[in-house]
Amino acid sequence: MGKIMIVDDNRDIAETLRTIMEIEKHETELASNGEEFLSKVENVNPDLVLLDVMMPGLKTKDILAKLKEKRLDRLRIMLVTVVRFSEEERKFLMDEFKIRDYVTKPFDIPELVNRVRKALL
Amino acid sequence: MKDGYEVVAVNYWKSVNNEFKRIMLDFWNTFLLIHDSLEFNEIVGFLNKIPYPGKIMYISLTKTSDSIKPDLKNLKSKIFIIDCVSSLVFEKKEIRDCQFEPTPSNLNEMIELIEKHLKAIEPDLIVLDSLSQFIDFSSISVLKGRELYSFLDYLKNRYSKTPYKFILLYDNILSKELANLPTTGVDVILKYEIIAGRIDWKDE
Repeated sequence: MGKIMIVDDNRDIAETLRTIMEIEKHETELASNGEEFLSKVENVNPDLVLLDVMMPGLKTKDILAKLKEKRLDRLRIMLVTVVRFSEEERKFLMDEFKIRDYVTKPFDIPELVNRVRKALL
Repeated sequence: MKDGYEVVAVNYWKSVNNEFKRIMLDFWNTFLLIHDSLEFNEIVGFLNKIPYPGKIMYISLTKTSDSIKPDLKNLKSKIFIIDCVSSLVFEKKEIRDCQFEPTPSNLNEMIELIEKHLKAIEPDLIVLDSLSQFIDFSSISVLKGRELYSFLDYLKNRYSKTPYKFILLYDNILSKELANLPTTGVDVILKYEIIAGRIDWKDE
């Protein structure tokens, strides 16, 4: 079981993810935007972050750059998003920012659960 | 009828299964998508059924221009992409027939974005992928409903090349949950459904 940080500005989606993760016996912590996430992440010290790509405020590229700055680039991050990337873009995200995985919304719950389990291994 | 209510519209619904080709012969101004699960190759398949699409302005709120590139070669018409997602994650340089823009956070910002590019591109058809980024059609609020209808009004008044204005396409994945389609604001609503099975015959 792990500690999972859910970063999403959509309250309904964040709560849905929280419920799913808690059923899986994970501990959860929510943040509704990049700023809140960055202010909490070191204290929370999560095993995995489920990060939405489209949020008001800080852009995803800035969030990932700040994590690098804080030397938190080894943090396990999974993108949960409606955005469809190309193969090259996914590879770039994995190489440059060590993104572990990528789940598209609307997500299939059993698949999401499986991927979270794998990411936590 | 409840006090204070009056009839605003009466719709007569019919199946368009056998009239799809005739509908596509009309000249459309705006093609709206709701829900984000339509893949770009499916959108291309739909656009290719329009006999005279002219120049398309495709506004993407869900797909990076890089991700749709492989399917562009199958598109029969000229397309100009407004990519509103790539700059969230990547540093992108301008490329031909594509502009990178910040993601609009509501339909009023979407109007500003369309206004910005309308003159330069002069599109014959605007494709918006997708409205679901702004509105949850399963539980639309009065405020969001007003925002949607004023967006449609803007497009009608500012950008009306032909009497045929809006064609709205959505897939069947979440159709049961879409309780609030903008039935009085668009001309044709099409539900997109993929039926998989063994092929013994095929439509020409």
